[in-house]
Amino acid sequence: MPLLFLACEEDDSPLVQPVSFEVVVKYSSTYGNQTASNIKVKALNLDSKIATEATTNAIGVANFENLPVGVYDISVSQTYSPAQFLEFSGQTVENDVVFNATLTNQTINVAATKRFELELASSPVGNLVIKQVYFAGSDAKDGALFRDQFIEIHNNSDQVQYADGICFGQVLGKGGTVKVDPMYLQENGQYDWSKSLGMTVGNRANTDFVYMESLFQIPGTGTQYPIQPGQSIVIAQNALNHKAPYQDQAGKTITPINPDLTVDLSGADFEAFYGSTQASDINNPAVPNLILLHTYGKDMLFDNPGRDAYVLIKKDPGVASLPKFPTPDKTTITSATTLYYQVPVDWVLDAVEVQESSTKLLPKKLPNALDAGYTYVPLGKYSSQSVIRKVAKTFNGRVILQDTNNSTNDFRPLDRANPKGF
Amino acid sequence: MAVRAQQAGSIQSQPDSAFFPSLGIFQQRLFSFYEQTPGQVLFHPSSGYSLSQLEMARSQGNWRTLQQPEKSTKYQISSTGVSQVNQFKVWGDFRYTRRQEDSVGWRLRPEQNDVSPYYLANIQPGNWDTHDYQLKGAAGVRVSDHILLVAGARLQTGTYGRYNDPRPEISRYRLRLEGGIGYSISSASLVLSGIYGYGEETNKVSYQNQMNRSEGRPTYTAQDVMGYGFYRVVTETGINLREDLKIKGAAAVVQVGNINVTYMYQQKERDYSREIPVSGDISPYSPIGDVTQNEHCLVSSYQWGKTAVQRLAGLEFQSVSVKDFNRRIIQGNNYLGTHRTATLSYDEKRPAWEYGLSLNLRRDSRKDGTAAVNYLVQTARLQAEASKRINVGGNFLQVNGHVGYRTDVGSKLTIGSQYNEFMRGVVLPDFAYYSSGLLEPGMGLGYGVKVKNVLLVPTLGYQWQKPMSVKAVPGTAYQLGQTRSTYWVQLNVHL
Repeated sequence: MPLLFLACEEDDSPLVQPVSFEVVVKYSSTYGNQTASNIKVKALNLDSKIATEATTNAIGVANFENLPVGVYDISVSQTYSPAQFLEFSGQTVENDVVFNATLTNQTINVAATKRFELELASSPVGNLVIKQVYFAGSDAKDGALFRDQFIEIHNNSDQVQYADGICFGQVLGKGGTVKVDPMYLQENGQYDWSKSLGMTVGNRANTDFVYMESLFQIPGTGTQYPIQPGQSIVIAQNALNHKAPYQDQAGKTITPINPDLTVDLSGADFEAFYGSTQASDINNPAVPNLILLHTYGKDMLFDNPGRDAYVLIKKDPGVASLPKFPTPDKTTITSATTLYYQVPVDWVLDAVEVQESSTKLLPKKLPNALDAGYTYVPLGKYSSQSVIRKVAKTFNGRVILQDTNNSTNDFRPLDRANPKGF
Repeated sequence: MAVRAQQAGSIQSQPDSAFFPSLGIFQQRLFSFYEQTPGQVLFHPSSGYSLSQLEMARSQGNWRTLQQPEKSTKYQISSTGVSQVNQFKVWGDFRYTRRQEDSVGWRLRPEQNDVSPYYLANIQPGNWDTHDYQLKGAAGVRVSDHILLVAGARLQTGTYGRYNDPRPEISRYRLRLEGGIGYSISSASLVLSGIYGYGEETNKVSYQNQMNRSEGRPTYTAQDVMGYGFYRVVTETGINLREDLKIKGAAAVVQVGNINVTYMYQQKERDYSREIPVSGDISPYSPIGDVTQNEHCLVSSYQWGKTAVQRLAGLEFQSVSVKDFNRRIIQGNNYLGTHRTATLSYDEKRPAWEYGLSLNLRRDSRKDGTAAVNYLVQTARLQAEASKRINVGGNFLQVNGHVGYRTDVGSKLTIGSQYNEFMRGVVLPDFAYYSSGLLEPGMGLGYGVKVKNVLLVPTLGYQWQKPMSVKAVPGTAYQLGQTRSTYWVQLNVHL
């Protein structure tokens, strides 16, 4: 009797089952929207960090079977050698061509869609690339807070490149806590720039342009600041040795308790001097200052949790006269309305999307063609960590960094930021 | 459920037994059959007793799961008793327990054996310090020759915390009220009661080292466990979990002569939510999931025999079924759990000895739909115990011993295509731990001293657990150890 009692099933209600879904992969319209067969598609569960791969069939469909409900990043990254690309497109290129497509933060459950579409886009691999971004800063008490932030730009080519006139900056996007009427947002939660006042390019406003929250330009005559092949330049918020005591604007001496947590930027190639009331905005006369085309805040402040996207923009005399637009939720333009530079995607030499973590994703600011992924520092803000591009290969001491236009694959965290470490 | 008392002393001298009714494993077992629900209070075999206890117990060893501590120390003060106050028969029980545990992983809740699948957890082991208070009371009165009235209440409250990152701070209260009416004819009585209760628990998790909150330290990352394989990283800024509990139920007690049959049914609704920082009129709680817990419990006992040889037979069933409705990403039922036990026992009290035998059958089933986990543990456990009192002058020495043996009777586990960290760290070690053959011998030694009207019985005890055949579970994150031992020191005060 006890055994019978124990064995009977009280509730045979149907349980939620693992889910299956399909991913359709095709090439962008540049390549005639061809179906992409025999391509590996990756679905990464953001909670368990378990990645599952499936390969597209002859009609470009990858089937994922019986995966746990969850939130997934779905991505494809396909590299063509010049020969393969010639066979595929009939075009001759010098370097590898990388196609990327990503859908981030996709909820996969019983109620959600069972079919996803990825459109493979490619962009040229640049000569100048963003090598390292140190946005996290160091310990607020023992280190240098965020006054030691910097960005490093690397010459990935075999020719001398000149930094003169190159621009870079942070891309504007909707922040996580900013409340915006959904009518001004795209499906992915990012601003729908086509709805900005004065916008005339329609939906291309979201795909063919980025909008700059800050924009800086490197000074120079055109050949004043060469970057040798395999070498890099460092652009500092403050070109100081942050490991040593320094005097702030008020004359107060600030001493980092643990110098190992921060960096020496006294040898930086450029710095951003705002002449502001920010206590740490000190001008190092030995280091050239950036041209400030568009700024926010009191210094070149990178979001130290990591909710920024950075772009490197080609030198062009027309940069300063690019059109500017307000964010789409502005219904009138007054003298107090901030307008943001609209930069064509074609002008972008390199870009990297940074997030706070893989579980705290904001809507992507960069189109897939510029960066199909994202990177982050695992230990978060004030951790002294930076993100740095992986080394692809080395030729006779010349370092070539990995650039597949997918920073999830191309970047790694560095435990201690290290300007010009190699 | 009535529990087999391991700790108490034994005395067979008739005058002492009559004077101190709570002495001996037989008496305590008999009493426990009648202390399940307030509806039983009028049928309690004792007209008046009191047992108070101070206890320190320490447990250590690696025969454990990752959700259990490697070392545990318990300090407990308790007092139980029955008294006749005018027309009323009153039963009361109070206990305060402080527990210190170390190396507990994969749970940020105080109890490992809670059947609810919703809780916060992280991999990194940490140390707990818990303070738990339980107060129970019942009273009954015969308002006429036939009509009986009973009422009772149970309150559990406490604070529970872990002092390594991540640091949960938990506060809880759970109140259960019961009231009923009975009818008595001759030696037969029936009491029917209604049960109502509610409670609340809040768990707020903080980090002393903020870097431990980051993705770079995944073992510190707080997870929402929402099943038995399905879990998600907590992404909200505030890591907290709130449980709102509602209880409703009924109980029926039948007493015919020395036969007691008690049935209890309780439905517990446990709703989980997370407090989120919002302004305005929006609810600050974001729902996570609802758990419905249906509990059936049948306890029956029959006592017979004369003064020289008394006998007690018991039969107990317990069934707990757990079902969820996930309000997060699933929006449906993901978890089904059933926990069932049946225990058949026989106890005998003779002038020189006391014996006890019991057979326990257990079936524990857990199904996680989306994670494709199907867990079934079925075991049978046989236990024998004996106790002897040896007079030493005017005092006495008591020796008791027990041995239990558990064996698997058809456990099985299937997991779908993906083994996640929870499966490696919890499901697989659980399966090996609960389904393996286990030998549990133990003994106790006490010394009884009568001081005026009080009997003091300081007792030392020891129990050892030795797995006999540990199930191999490839892929587990934790290999179970080979032993665990527990010793305890008690001071029992009988009045």
